[in-house]
Amino acid sequence: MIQENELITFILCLGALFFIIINYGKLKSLPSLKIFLISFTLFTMGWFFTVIEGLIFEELFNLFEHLCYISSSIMMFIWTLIFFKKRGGNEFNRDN
Amino acid sequence: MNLIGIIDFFVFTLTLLSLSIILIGWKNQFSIITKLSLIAMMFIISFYYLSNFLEWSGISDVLVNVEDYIASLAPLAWFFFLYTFIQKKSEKNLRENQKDIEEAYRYTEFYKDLFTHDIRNILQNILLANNIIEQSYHNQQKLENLPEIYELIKEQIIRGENLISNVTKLSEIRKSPFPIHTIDLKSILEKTVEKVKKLYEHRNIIIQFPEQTLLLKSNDLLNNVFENILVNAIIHNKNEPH
Repeated sequence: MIQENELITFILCLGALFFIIINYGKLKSLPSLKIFLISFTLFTMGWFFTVIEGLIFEELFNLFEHLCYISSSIMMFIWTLIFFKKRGGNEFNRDN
Repeated sequence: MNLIGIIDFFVFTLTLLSLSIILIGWKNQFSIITKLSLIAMMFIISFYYLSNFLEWSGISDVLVNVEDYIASLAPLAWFFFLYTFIQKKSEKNLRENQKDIEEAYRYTEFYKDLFTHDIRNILQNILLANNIIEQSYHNQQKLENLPEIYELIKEQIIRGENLISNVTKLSEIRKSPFPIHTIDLKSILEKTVEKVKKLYEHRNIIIQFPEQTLLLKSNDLLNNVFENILVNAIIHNKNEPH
């Protein structure tokens, strides 16, 4: 059975993803943008599987959900590492 | 601990590490509001992953009740982080555009002043020459001065041409600076003197400069500097050569 709060969170994720797509050009100056976006997309996919698991193949989609979360956190960790390594470079002071 | 619990442990650990890097390592990377929204986003996600880990590893269900409400803030936090980033970027671009517009306005004012002053002076000289020519039709004695008057008009036209050329060069310098390279000063001076003598062939001009070769680093506009100095010297110098 689909839980309403999970569905709402998934819709909010889709909304944020839509915002990213329409503002992709403006976001290009965000360093390592692709890694950051992959992380968010995987996070959204995790929520998609959370919703789907309420309908069919609960265990399988639950596993997919958590695999998406770990992939998302790995990407986020890589993104922050890249930032940390290049700390102090002018290229990252772009939005100040 | 089951597989999901182990996965969630790593998810939570990695997210905590990312959050730590953001808190410790990042200085001056973003504006304060962007950084705060990113930290808030990471806190919310960390909380959600912690709750998942506690639930799936069978440690505790204490966070489950609030988990979904907190989790629904996560996409909003992502959105807010990206929105503030875009907003700050747009503000920066706007400031830069304003600076460019102000600079362009200053240059326009400068060109306007330059043109107004010099063109007015040139036109006044031509008008004066024209008046003298008109008067000379009624006064035969003044006809003797006609070659000088024509020369004056010719000089003013050359001044006008030089003014247009200089303004064009100024504009080009602003757009893309001329490259610096090694130049032989003597050859530049020779060419400039030759050009100036041709422009003022009716004047008795004697220009002396050192004969030895002098190499210096400059751009292709150096000859204009010498040309301007020499032309001004000719225009404003009323002395006869010794």
